[in-house]
Amino acid sequence: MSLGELPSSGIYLYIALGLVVLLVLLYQLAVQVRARKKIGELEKRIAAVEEGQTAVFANVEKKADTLKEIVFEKTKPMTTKLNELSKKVSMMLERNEAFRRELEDQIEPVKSSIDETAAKFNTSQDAMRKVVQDGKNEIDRMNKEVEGFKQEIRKVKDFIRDGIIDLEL
Amino acid sequence: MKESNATILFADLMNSTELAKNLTLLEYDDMLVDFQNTMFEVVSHHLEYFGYEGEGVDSEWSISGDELRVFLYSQNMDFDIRSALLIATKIKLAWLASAFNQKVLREQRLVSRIGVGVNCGKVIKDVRPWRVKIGKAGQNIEGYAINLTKRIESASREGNVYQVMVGASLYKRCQQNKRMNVAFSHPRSLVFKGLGQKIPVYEVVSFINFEILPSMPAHLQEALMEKMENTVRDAMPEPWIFIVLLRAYITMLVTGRDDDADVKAVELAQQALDVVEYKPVIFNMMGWLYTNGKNVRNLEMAFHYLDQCLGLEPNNEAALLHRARILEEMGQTDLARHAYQEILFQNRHHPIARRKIAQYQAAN
Repeated sequence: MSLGELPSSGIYLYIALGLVVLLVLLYQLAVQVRARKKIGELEKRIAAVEEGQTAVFANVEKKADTLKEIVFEKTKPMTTKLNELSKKVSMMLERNEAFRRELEDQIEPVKSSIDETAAKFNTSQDAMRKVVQDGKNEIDRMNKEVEGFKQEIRKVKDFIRDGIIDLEL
Repeated sequence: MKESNATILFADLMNSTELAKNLTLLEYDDMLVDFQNTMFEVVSHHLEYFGYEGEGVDSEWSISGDELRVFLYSQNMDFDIRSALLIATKIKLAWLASAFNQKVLREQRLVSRIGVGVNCGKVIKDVRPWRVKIGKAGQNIEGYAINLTKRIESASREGNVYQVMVGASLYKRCQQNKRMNVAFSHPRSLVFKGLGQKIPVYEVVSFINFEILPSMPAHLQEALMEKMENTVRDAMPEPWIFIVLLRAYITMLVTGRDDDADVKAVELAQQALDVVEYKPVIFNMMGWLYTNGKNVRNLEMAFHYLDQCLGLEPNNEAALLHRARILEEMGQTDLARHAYQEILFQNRHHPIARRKIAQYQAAN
């Protein structure tokens, strides 16, 4: 083939390429149409589900309100009774507190007097204990001294006896 | 310058020159150190124990080489003499128990001994200017009595009992004071170099004093009894150790420290009769033990030994007194009275005999 024959072959190639591009475009269009159709169907299903959900919520709320009413009706008398009881307990506590104060007012001088007496007793007991302990220590010391003195006397006696024996040997 | 009566004691190691020849220089020095330490401990403790002030007030002493010198001048001569005799016995005892002699004993050789000379007489105490110049301000003691004591000490080698020799002045003083309880050998007249005349010297043959052991330094006392007991078991024990040990056993009995000491004491006394030449003291001790020992009490035996003593020394006051007491205990009143009268015949001031005779007279 010479160089001059080339232009006539290029036209066929162009036509072939144009056909390929056209076919691709047509396929894409077909895909888009199918996707739109699927999205429409899905939207419909979502709308149905949302409707069902709203109905369920509404139903649950209604049931909860009913239950609340029932519970309130059932507990109302008990609450009243509890309130009354609470009031009675408070009153009792107040009376007790008043009685305690009254009692404390009466006991306080006696308690002070007892505390004072106990303090005095403790002081005198400590003093007495100290005196007794001092006396005991003194007796111990004297005992030791007497013991030492006894030993000393024994030594002196032995010394004298031994000295006398010297003269008898 | 001050003149005073002093009791002088000189002591030194016997045969130290021979020892120096046979020992190495180091061994000889070790022995000297042991000797000096022993003397220091005994003398310093003794003076403190018996209330001496020292430092030239009432006593002074020194050790030089193998010699010990002690001067006692408390103005109570009897006290000083008794003290000197105690020191003499104690240094001999301490040296016997020393590490050096204990080693010698273990090797079964002859122990090293100490010779002692004691005398009393006038001395002059004075501070010498030349001594002051060399920094020694203490007083010097001089006198004939010191020279004589040194000579007496040198004669101690001839002794065979205590090897403690005394001069005539100390001997006379002890004879006047029976309470000293010391007995001497017959006099030996010795001519000393430089003195030009015969000087009588007496050896101590018995010294009974209960304070010998108690007045020893405490750490020396601990093993002393055991060491003495070991020594008397030796082949050639010195006679004086028997007397000291027997007296110690008697103290143990009297103070109740060992109620069985009488058995040991009687055995030892029997052994002592073969060793000790001066026997009256041993007979008296046996008499005492048989009278007062719980385990060995036997008045007949006591009487027998006291008779033995009186056979040797008819005037022995201690034996006469014991005999009188035993007769009294046996119920022999007339004989006991006679025995007490015998004591008064010897010593009309004897307090016990006087009291007893007075009691007999009152009873009649």
